[in-house]
Amino acid sequence: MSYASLNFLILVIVLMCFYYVCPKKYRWIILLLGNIYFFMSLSGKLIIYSLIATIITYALTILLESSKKNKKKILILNIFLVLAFLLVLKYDNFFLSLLNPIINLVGLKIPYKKFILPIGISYYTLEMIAYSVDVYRKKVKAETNFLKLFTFFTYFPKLIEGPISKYSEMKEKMFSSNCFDYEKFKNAWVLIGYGFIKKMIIADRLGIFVDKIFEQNIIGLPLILAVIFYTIQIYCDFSGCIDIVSGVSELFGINLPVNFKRPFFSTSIQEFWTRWHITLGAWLKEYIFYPISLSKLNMKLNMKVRKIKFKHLARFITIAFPLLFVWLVNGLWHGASIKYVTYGLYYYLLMMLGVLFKPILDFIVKKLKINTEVWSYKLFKILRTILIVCIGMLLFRSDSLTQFTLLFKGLFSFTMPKKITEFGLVYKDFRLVFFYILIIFGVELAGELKVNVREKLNEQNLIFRWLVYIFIIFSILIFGVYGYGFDAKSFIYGGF
Amino acid sequence: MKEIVEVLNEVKPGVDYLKEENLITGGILSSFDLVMLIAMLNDKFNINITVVDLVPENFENVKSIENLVNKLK
Repeated sequence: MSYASLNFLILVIVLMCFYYVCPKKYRWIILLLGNIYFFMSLSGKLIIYSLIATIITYALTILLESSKKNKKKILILNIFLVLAFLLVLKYDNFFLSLLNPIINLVGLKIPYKKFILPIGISYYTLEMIAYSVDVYRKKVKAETNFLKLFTFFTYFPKLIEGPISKYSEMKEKMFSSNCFDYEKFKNAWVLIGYGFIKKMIIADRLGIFVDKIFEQNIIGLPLILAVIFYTIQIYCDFSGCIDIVSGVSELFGINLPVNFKRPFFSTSIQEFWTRWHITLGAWLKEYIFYPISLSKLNMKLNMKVRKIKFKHLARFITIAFPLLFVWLVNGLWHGASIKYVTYGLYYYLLMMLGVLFKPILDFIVKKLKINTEVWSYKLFKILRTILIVCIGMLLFRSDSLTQFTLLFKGLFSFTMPKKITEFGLVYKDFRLVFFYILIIFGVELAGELKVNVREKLNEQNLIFRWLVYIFIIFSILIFGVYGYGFDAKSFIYGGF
Repeated sequence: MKEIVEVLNEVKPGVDYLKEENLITGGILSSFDLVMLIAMLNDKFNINITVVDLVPENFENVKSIENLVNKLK
């Protein structure tokens, strides 16, 4: 059952009916039942993994809270046990591929084994780690109701693609008595519709073109177009999914954390990663970057470098080590392969180069008297960021590093196709996609100008509002790309 | 307060720190700046700011940073 499917919408409507009919105190139990049904419809008995991981987290966080001497040991045990599921089920073959060549030297070999992953394991594992660390840091009290904790970790709207949520931020809305609010109900459906447009009209249509180019290793102009299209595709696919699930969650009166904040308006790579997959970036910052950065070893290192009067180098060295971990984890989180590790290291390298050469760049800007406040300079920085992201996306989409190398060289080949319509899309599709991208751009631009489009829509007259609703519904029905059983293609980030 | 402003200016010059109230939520200090700031505060005031202290409320403005430093002294 995909989020962009009819079955999912039926499930949501049925759950909503039960949710608001049920006495307020017990409404979260409807969510729990919905979670179990949704999880089992996708992963069947594999729900046992999330159940065991929740039992471990539940028991150990209570123990941690009451312990006086062994808090750190309990926390490490909790993280180790929860992470073990993910490492064994998702990364076993990756680690074996690194280990086997070494142990082969003494004539040993561990056979490869492919496990079926329970749905959402990459997401709920991070949430469990965050929760236990937050209990350790006394940012949240250990939950004493096991079922409430299980409801949170398996909450069906965020199960497959996030956003990665924090128990401390969600528990109040999730377990308080949410009343039905017609305004919120309307707004939620607009967001869901907007997400469906991104996913089914833009992402899935562009995906047809992109797949053809990458399957056939086409180079030149079509490849350049495919890289741009893939960047738009993955954004519309992932952020579209987040719009759908955020809207669905709003139907139950629960706001999910923001996961995208118009990333293509970023003026630097660092800013881009604070606007793209925000909750993953925030998780990495809070639970990896800061603990390593503020470790005694790193602080001592910083002090020593500053004492020899290399202030700028001190910044470089202080963040070099923690940031390496951040990007390694980021890459590996996306997939157990060298390609994803390289993807993480690509951004690591760019960020470190940015920090290293900042004084030189600042000097050049000053010497050339470049005004950094004018819109044209900002536009230049935005386009530079988009270019870097597009190259990253080429790596992300390639099947292997070999294909990436081949295609990267192919970007500079001036090969022209006979017709651009040879790759699965006709001119009508290009015009259609362009039109809807313009709409998305308009909405995003309004967001940049601090205009809340949904609120503005609510202020309009009834006729205009309904014209917009009808436009959204008919757009999806008529122009959506449908697969088997009128379902959309699977979401890309669901695969992680 | 003067000493904290000095440290802040060393970490990231060009900001009117006495006026700014949202150094973290306003995006004025990045995570890289924050790590440098903590390293320098630890050094200057001989304190130990840990991850537990790392909440936006403690670094939003000069006053909140001063309160944190005084608490940890």
